Amino acid sequence: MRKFYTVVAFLIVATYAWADFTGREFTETRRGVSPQGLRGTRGGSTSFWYSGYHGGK
Amino acid sequence: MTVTNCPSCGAQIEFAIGSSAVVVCNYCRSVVARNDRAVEDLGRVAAIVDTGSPLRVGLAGNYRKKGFRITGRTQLRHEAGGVWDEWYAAFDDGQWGWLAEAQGKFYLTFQVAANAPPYAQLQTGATVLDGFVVSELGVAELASAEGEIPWRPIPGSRYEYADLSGGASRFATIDYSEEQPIVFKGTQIDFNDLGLEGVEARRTKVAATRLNCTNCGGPLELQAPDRSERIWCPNCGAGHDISEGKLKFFAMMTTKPIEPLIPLGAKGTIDGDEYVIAGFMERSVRFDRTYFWTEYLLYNQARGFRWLVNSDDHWSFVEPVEAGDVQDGNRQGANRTIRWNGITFKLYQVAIAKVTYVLGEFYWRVEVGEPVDAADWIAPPHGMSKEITKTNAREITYSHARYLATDEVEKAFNVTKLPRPHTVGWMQPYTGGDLTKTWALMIALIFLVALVLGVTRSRRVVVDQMYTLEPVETTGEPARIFFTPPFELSGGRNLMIDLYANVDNTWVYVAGDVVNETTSATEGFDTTLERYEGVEDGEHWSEGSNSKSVYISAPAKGRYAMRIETHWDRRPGHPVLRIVAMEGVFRLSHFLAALIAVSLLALPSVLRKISFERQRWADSDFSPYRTES
Repeated sequence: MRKFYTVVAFLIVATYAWADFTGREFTETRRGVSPQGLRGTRGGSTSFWYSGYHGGK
Repeated sequence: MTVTNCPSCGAQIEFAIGSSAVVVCNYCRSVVARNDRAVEDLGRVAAIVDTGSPLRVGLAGNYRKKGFRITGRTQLRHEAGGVWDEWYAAFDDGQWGWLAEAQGKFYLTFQVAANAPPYAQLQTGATVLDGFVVSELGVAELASAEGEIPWRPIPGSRYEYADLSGGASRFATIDYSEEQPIVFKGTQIDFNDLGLEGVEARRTKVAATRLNCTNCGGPLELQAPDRSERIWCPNCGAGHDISEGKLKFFAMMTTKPIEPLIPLGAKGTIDGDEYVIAGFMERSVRFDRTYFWTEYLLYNQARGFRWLVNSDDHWSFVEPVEAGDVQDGNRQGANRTIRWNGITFKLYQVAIAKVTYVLGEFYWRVEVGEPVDAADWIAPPHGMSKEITKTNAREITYSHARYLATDEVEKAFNVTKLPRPHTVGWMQPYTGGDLTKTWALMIALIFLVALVLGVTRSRRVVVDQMYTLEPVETTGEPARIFFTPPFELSGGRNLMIDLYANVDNTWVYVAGDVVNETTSATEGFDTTLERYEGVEDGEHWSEGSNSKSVYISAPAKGRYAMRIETHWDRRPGHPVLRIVAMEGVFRLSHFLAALIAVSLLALPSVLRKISFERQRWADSDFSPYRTES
C-alpha cells in the first residue's frame, strides 16, 4: 500500500512540478492559424501601431 | 590469617581476611564473630539452600583489573517468599564488594559514605541519593550463611532495606541493619564482567522435582524448585507453600477452574531462550464492568521469570525493566506519558488489579485477591506497566511488554488452534501501512516545488490596456474588434489574461486570440463578463462577476498581439474593458489540486488507521479520540 501510494503521489507531485515549470495548462484553448488577410488589414495584428487603440476594423 | 576454634563445636575455623567480621563454622553452622579479645557465637544458621548459582565460596576473579576472592555468602529471605544470595568479595586492595544475585542478574556494590534518609521517610518511587529511584522497601530475614563475611549477621534477625535503581544499570541498596543506614552503590553487571576463570555463567541446573498434592495425591512437577514459594495443584486447586522441597497445604481454590490455553509445563522458545510454563493466573480490573486477562509465568534457568500475557486473545511477552531506566514524572501516580529506551508511551489505563485465579508454581506467595495499583501505557507494539505493591515488601516495578501475534505464540510453544482475536488489542501494531510520513513528505515536496517556482518564475505584465466599448455600427448588437499592442513572450511560461468590465446588470462577451506574429499560430478563448444584482422580497442579491481570468498554456517564445472581439448588451452608456496579460503566473489551482490529490489518495488509509486506533482506545479512559460530553 505504501509503495503504491508513494509511486502515485510522487507522479502527482512530478506532474505538478513539470506543468508549472513549463507553464502548461490542463484546460483546452482554441488553437489555429490566423488568416493572412486578417493580419494585413489596417489595424490588423501586423500593422498595429504602438500608441494605442485607433479604431480597429 | 587468624586460626581459632568454633566456640560451639570446637572445630578449627580460619579468619583469612583481616577485615572480615564473622566466619560460619563448616561443621555446626554457627556464626562465629571475632572481637578484640575473643570469638563469639552469634547463633546457628540453617543449611544453605541450593539456588543453582554459578558462584561459590573460594572462587577468584578479576573486576576492572582488580583481583578478588569470594569468601562467603548470606541467604536472605524476602517477605513475599524466596531467598536471594548475597556474596562477599574480598578485593586485593582491602575493599569488600557485595555481590547480590536475583532473577538471573548480578549486582556488584561497594559501601560508600552517603547520608541516607531514615527508612520511615522512604516511599517507593521517590528519588534519593542523587537520582536513584526507590524501587523496593522491605524487610529481609537472614536465612543462612557460609564462609567469611564482612558484617555480623545474626541468625534469624530481620533487616530493613531499600533497593534503589539509578538507570543505566546503576544500582544501590540502603541497609538499615545498623543504627546509621549504610549505603552501597554499584551496578548491575554481566557474569562475564567478574572475570571468573573456568566458571560458566550457566546456573547449575536444579532438576525439576515431582511431588504429590497433599490434598488429591495428583502429581505436581516443580519447574523451578530452587525458586518457587507456592504451588497450586492443577488437579484439585489445593494451594501449598513450598519449603525445602516439601509441600505444606494452606488453602483450596474456591473459584471456578480455568483451563490454561497452553498447558503448564509446556516449553517454548521466545527470542532464542527456552522457557517452561511454570504458573498460570487470571487477574482482573474493575471499571464499568470487570475485565479479566490471564498471565503465564515463564521460567528460564538463566533469564529467570518472564510473563506471557493473554488479554482478549491478544498475546504479549513481558520482561521486567529497571525503575531507574524509566522516565516517569509521577512515580506514585500515572503521568499521561512516560519514556523508556527512547520510546514514548501513552497512558492507557489506571486501575487496581487483583489476582482472581492461580495454578502452578510461583516465586512469591501469590494469593487470590492480591491487589496492586497498576498503570499501563502503550506505544504499539510495545507496552509498559507499572505496578505498586503495598503489601509485604513495598515495591514499584516496571515491565516492558511486546505484542506477539497468535501465530508466533503457537509456533513458539508448538500448540495449535489458539483463539484468534476479534477486537483490536491495545498493543496490537497497525499493519495496514501508515502513510502519514509519506503523505507529509509529499505535501512538503509540493510546497518545495511551489517555493522554487515562486523564486525562479517571477511573473511579468506584458499587456495592460483599457478600452471604451463604442459600437462601430448603430444597428444590431453592439460589437467591436480591436488588437492589443504587440508584446514579447519568453516561452515556457503560462500566460494569464485578466479581463475586467464595469458591467452592472448587463454583460460583455469577449472572444480573444493570442496571435503569434511570426507563425500566425493562435490560441483562442472566449468568455462573458456579466454581473447582475437587485432586491427581491427585501433581500439584496447579486450574481456573476466583473472580472475573469483565462490561461494560455505555454506559448512559444516570440512576438504576439491579441485580437479581441467584443459584443455587449444594448444599454445606454459605453462599457469599459480592461485587459491585463501576465506571463509566468503562479497557479494556485494547480498547487491546491496537487495537495488535494495527494491527500485524497492517502485518505482511505488514514481513515482505516483512525478507525483502528479508535477501536484500540475504545476501552481507555485516556483515549485521544474520546470527546468529553
